[in-house]
This record gives sequence, structure tokens and C-alpha cells, in this order.
Amino acid sequence: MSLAKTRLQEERKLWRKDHPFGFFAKPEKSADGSLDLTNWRAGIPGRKDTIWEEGIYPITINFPNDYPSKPPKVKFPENFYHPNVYPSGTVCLSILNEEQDWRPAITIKDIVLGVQELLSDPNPDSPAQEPAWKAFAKDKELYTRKVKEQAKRYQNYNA
Amino acid sequence: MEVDDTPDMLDISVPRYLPMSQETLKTFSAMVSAREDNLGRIDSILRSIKQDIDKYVEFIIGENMFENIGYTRDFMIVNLQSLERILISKYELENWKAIAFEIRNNLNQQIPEDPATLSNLQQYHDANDETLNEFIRRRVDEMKNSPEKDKNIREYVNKNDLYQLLKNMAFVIEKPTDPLPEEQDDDDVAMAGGVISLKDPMSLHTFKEPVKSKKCDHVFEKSVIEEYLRNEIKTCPVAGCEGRLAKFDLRSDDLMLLRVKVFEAKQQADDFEIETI
Ligand SMILES: [Zn+2]
Repeated sequence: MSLAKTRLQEERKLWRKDHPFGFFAKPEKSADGSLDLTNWRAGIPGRKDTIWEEGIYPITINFPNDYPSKPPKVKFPENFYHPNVYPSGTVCLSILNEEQDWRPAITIKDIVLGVQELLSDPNPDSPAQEPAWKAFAKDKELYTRKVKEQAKRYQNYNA
Repeated sequence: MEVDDTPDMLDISVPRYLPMSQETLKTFSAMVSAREDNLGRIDSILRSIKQDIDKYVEFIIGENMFENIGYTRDFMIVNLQSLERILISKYELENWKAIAFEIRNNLNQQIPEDPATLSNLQQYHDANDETLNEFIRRRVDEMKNSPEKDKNIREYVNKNDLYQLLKNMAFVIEKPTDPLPEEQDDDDVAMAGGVISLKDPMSLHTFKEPVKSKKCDHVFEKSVIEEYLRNEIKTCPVAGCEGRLAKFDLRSDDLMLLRVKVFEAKQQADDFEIETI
């Protein structure tokens, strides 16, 4: 069996045994009902006492064949409102970038915690979309309102 | 340097080292090879100590004697003292070997390129103002009287894997997932909730053949890290570690292997107890 497969099976076992509070993450089911370990769905709760706190935000995590040598691709839904999320939903985060801080020892738990941190703590140096980045830089009031509106939409997202 | 032991001044095809004392050179070569033999002997003693430790561990695990830690401590203390003495000899012999290498290099450099002839004998004479004997004596004295000597020996012994295994085996047999006392404040040791991880950080499987990076002390499963590195130099797979690793930076981590063996044996013993209650 490939390293990617065995590693993802272990990731699943570890996650089921123990994972951070309020999060969920699980492999998708294939058409035939079996588990597709290379595609996961996860929910990221916004941090308490931030404008993100009311939502649980959905992401998909797609693992390449040469995972964990190469990082997985993490996506929010299209047009997700955040300065570091591309219009396609792809997350711009250094630990998910092979050229930057990705390392094979980074686990799914590390990734979802990293994405949670990015939500309420955007990186002003890597803009990925116009609307949220502009508002975040120049109009905090608009930014806050938009984020809170979005949080309401994702209030009831769960497994 | 005197040239009175020159055999026949009229013979143009004299050996290149002619102005050196041939006797000194012979004695020197004999000393070097005798010491190299000793190094070989020491390595075989070290291998047999490793075998003794392995047998001892097998016995402890087989007999489920994890509680009788005093026994292990005695085994450790006796063997640690002799191991230390052996390692000090090894250190001195290795130093000697390095000096011998230096002397050989030095010899080759000091001898002029051209073969010795009657007309350039003076050039030979001038090329070497320190006799071989003096040179050897100076280097050996430097080694013996170095102010750093004790510190270097300490470091050498401490860095030895077998020494570390023997020194820490009692602790690890007692507490297989606890960080060693000297590691407890070390951020580079893979820990989760205060315990040492017994899993390869890439496959997340429990170690079978753990290897440690000389560059950063991170531990990996041999087959997994070798597959990752292939024949390249890559950044350490652990997040935040800037160590640059190649295959030859890895050496087997016997202490980690001991942790895994003891941990699994203890777990089995616990499971057995639960079943029989
Ligand atoms: Zn490292």
C-alpha cells in the first residue's frame, strides 16, 4: 500500500480517537459507498470572542497521490469571504504551500487548527481576493459586517 | 637533516624519501598499523557489549521484569564504567590515527617533486627543517596536553549511541514514553502531552526501525525517510525544523527502539491482566 493510503488511514484513526473541540473531519464516501480517503470534508469553528465565532465553516481537503511529500489542497466554498481565500475557495496558507512551510509531518489536526487561526487572523501580505482584502485593509466596519453575515449563513453547518 | 645514512650517493634512482630516516619511517608505519588493529579490536568489543544489552533487554521483556528496576541499574552501572574506559581508549586511538594521517600528508608535501639526485640533495635537505621524529613528538604532545582534552573526551563519550543507550536504559524500561531528564525542556523532541511520540511523523505508524537525524535529532522510520529523501538533500519533514538531511545523516536510534519494545510489552502484559481478571 502507498504511504499516502496508510498515512491517511492512521490520520483517520487518530482523529477518531482524539480531535480538537468543535471540529469535525472525515473522508467522503465514494459512489459505491466505500470511503474515499483522498477527499475529506471538515468543519472549522470560528474562534470564540472573534467575529467568526458563530459559524462552523466547511472545507474540503484533497490529498495528492504523493501525500505527505506534497501538501493537500484545502478549499472553502466558492466566493468565501476572507482576505486569504481565492474566489475559487482555495486557501492561501504557508503551511499548505510546498514551496513555503509544508512539511510531511504536518497532520490534519495541524491543518484545521492552522485554517482556524487564519480565519480570525488574516495575513495582510498575501491578498487572494479583492472584496475581503480591501475591506479588511480600509473599511473594518464593512469587513466586520460581511464576516458576521457569513457566520450566520454557516451557523448550522455540521457533519 | 643528516644524510649520512644514504646508501650510495652515485645511484641516481634513490627512493623519494631518501633524506628521511628509513628506520623512523618503518617504526612509524608499524606503530600506525598496530594502533589500527587495536581500533578494530575495540569496535568488536563494542559490538559485543551491544549484543549483551540486547540480550539483557530481551530477558527483561521476556520475563516481564519491568518492576525490578534495581537489577537493571546494577547491570547499567557495571557496564557503563567499562564502556567509558573503552570509549576513552577509542578516542585516543582515533586521535592518533588522525595525527598519523596528518604526518603522512605532511611527509608527502615536504618531499620535493623531483627524484633526489646529487645536485638537488641540498633542496631536499632544506625542504624539511623539522625531523620526522620531532614532528611526531610535537603532535602527540599537543594531543596529550591539550587544555580541551578532558572536555573533548567527555563530549565524545556522551555522544556515543551505545553509551546513551546503556546510560538511559533503566529510565526507559521504567517509563518508556517519558522524555529523558535532560530532554524535558528540549523543544526539538517530538512530544504530545508531555510524552515521547513512538510514531513515525510521516507514516504515523509505530516505529519498527527508528533512525535519528544527526542534524536535528528528529526520529523517523528508516524505510519511510529513505523513500522520502532518495538520494537528495531535503529539509527535515518536521514542521518548523530547518535541518537539511541526506540518507547519510541518519543512524539507528536504539533508545527509541527500546522505548517501543518496552511500551508494547507492557501494554501486552496489561491486556493480559485485564483478560484474566
Ligand atoms: Zn528535524
